[in-house]
Amino acid sequence: MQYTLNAEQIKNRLMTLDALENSGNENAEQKLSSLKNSGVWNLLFDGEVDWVSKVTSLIEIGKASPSLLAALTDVYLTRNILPDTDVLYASAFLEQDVDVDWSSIATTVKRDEDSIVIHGEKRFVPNVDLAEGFLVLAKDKSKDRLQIILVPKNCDGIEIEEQTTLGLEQFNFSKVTFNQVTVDPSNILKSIEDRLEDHVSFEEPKIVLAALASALAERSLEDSIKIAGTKQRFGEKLGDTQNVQFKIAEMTVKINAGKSLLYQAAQKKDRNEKSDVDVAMAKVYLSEAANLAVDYNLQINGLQGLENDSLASDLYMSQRLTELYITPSEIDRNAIAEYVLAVDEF
Amino acid sequence: MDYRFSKNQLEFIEEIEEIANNVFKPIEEEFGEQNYLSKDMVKALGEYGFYKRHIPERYGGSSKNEFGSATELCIIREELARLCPLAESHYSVTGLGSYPILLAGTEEQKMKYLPKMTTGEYVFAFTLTEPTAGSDAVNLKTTARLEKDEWVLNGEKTFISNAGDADVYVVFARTSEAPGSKGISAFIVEADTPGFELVEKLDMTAPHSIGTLAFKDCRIPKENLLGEEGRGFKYAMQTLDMFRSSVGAQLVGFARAALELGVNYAKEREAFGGPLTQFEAIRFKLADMYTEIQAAKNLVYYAAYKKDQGYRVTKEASMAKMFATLVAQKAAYESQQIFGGYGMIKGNPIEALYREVRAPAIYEGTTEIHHMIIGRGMVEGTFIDDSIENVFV
Ligand SMILES: Cc1cc2nc3c(=O)[nH]c(=O)nc-3n(C[C@H](O)[C@H](O)[C@H](O)COP(=O)(O)OP(=O)(O)OC[C@H]3O[C@@H](n4cnc5c(N)ncnc54)[C@H](O)[C@@H]3O)c2cc1C
Repeated sequence: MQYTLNAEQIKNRLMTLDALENSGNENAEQKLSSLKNSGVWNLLFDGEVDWVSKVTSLIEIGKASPSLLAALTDVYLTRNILPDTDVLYASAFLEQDVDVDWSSIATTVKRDEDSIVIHGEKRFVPNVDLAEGFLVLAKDKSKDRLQIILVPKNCDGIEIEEQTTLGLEQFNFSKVTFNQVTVDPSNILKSIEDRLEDHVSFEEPKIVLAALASALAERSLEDSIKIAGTKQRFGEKLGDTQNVQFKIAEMTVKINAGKSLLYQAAQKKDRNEKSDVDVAMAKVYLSEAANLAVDYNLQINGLQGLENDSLASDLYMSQRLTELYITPSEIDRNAIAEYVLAVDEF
Repeated sequence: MDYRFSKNQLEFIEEIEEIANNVFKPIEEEFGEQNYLSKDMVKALGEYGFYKRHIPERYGGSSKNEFGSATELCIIREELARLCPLAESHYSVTGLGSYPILLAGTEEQKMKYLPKMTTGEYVFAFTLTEPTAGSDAVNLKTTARLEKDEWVLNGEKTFISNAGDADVYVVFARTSEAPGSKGISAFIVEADTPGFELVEKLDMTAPHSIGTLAFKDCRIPKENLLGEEGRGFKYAMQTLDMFRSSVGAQLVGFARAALELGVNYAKEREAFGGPLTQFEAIRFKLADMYTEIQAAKNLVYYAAYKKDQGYRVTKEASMAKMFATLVAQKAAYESQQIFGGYGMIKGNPIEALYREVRAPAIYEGTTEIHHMIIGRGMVEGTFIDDSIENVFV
């Protein structure tokens, strides 16, 4: 058994910390570009680098810039579909009322002589400003199958409108309308007859979200410790009261419990073992631990934590994405249960 | 980073499983629930070498290191708790009771007591708690006064596991008025010493050999002082430091047993035209139990690993014990809920398990005390480890 990072993993962590320090006050998009030009990009996306290193770097990135890490979620998703490219694409999968049930996709793709035509409205499309194109999930009704189609951003008939969402100030989703957009049939990347999940792995984006949850929870804990050590009430330091001590203890234990699950999933990936259930467990547990942590931190901050520009309110609002995005906790819980029910002895 | 057990550890787990199923379980089934020790179980644990595992060879043990391995202790307790709780308690209480001798005993004391512990001939008890000093153990009132060549002990101890059944008691008593823990020393008291008596056996939620003891001018030889005078509380804490993560392991074992019972029952039991597993509410309970058990196990073996690396593990062991306790209590509750009314019937293993998981939230530091230890350490900064190889907060 071994619970600490090895020399190579420490080197990777230091490289990430170094790059983050140099990126200073850039916004998330600028940071993403800087990241692309640094060795960290390689670390995050090179198949040769181990997942324990990647997870460690992702958490560090999330602590420095939660919005940047949120943006990376989709990069893992799109690179899973198009691995051999350095061009950034944005997934356009979700729609009004379609966030988990892919069978209800309303966006259509139709054959029109030598081209294909895409029509529909997509929501929650991330990284639109940076992406050079979209990977659109659409339904080919004639063949009753889903397709993923690469659509360059400069095609005619595309309209983009920013959505305002809770938290993560520098990370935005957009509504993207594809109005009879025409592309070449060779842009069809995947044609899917059965389950989307069998063709597109959501595992890596979920790891990123679990890392984001960890980062938000860790920053909440740090903030709480700072407040507890400095603020006085009724002549007593907040940190001397049991209600604050107990909250900090619960945050600490739950963050560590969740991190242990995330690192366990990373180790399994590094050994090429099946890790989908481990990733689901890590995401469910860490996102809910983060929910508790941001809430406790706001409570420890008191009313001042409600001010819109306070760190506590920022963390509070940013956490919610982690329980909903890519897969909501309910879908993950069902996947975990499915696995558990197939086991007889624990 | 690699959380997996080694090949040797996996083989050892299989070995424990086989002995627990074939030897210990039949003894437990015959013994049932009693508030005294099963001599057969003690004998079997001795015969199959369990008490030897953390004792060095020169004292009759089989350990290659001086103070045993916290990881191995966790493995044994987890597997025994999962398969045979009676064997687990018979194993761990004697381990806890004798550990201060291994830690602080003279060569003579070790040679006298430890070989007999390894065979199961001597059973031990860890004798700290008093009627008015539980969590606040530093406040203990039992005294030990040196008179010529003898220590004279006076006072009362309660909630002492193995009380009335143990052959040897390691007793913590006040030898001076020095402040805090400094006035506390540790002693070895043999069961048949005049002035030492069992006041009563206690009937607990989950029956267990436990009781209240009294020392009335109880005279023991001067040589029965354990370690240095005034350092007794330190030995008690060092012992708990070693055993605390293994209480967590015991709870992981209980939780795994609860999950197994719950899963198998949910698959069999029909309601509304299908098995209970058709209901999302039941599936989610099982998913959460499984997830939390994995996390608890990770925290337990992390604490044990650090202990075996030679670190102080006040924080890690507190986290492991507190978290595993909460996880096991929830697992037992939810599993019993899945069983419905049948889970309330005596004789159903989940009924016993539901009672069994309760006490660990009280002993070796209550859940509240562990919250306090962790919270305080984090606020004061003493628990913050920002070394570059560490990934935990
Ligand atoms: C089954 C069992 C076996 C045991 N075996 C042994 C043994 O072998 N040897 C031995 O020496 N002892 C043993 N004990 C005793 C055990 O260690 C004590 O019961 C424990 O330390 C708690 O003490 P107490 O029961 O006096 O509760 P108290 O200390 O009176 O606590 C009562 C309540 O107050 C809370 N509380 C106390 N202090 C604080 C605080 N500072 N902040 C917040 N909350 C607080 C506690 O968490 C608890 O909820 C055993 C107990 C049990 C139940």
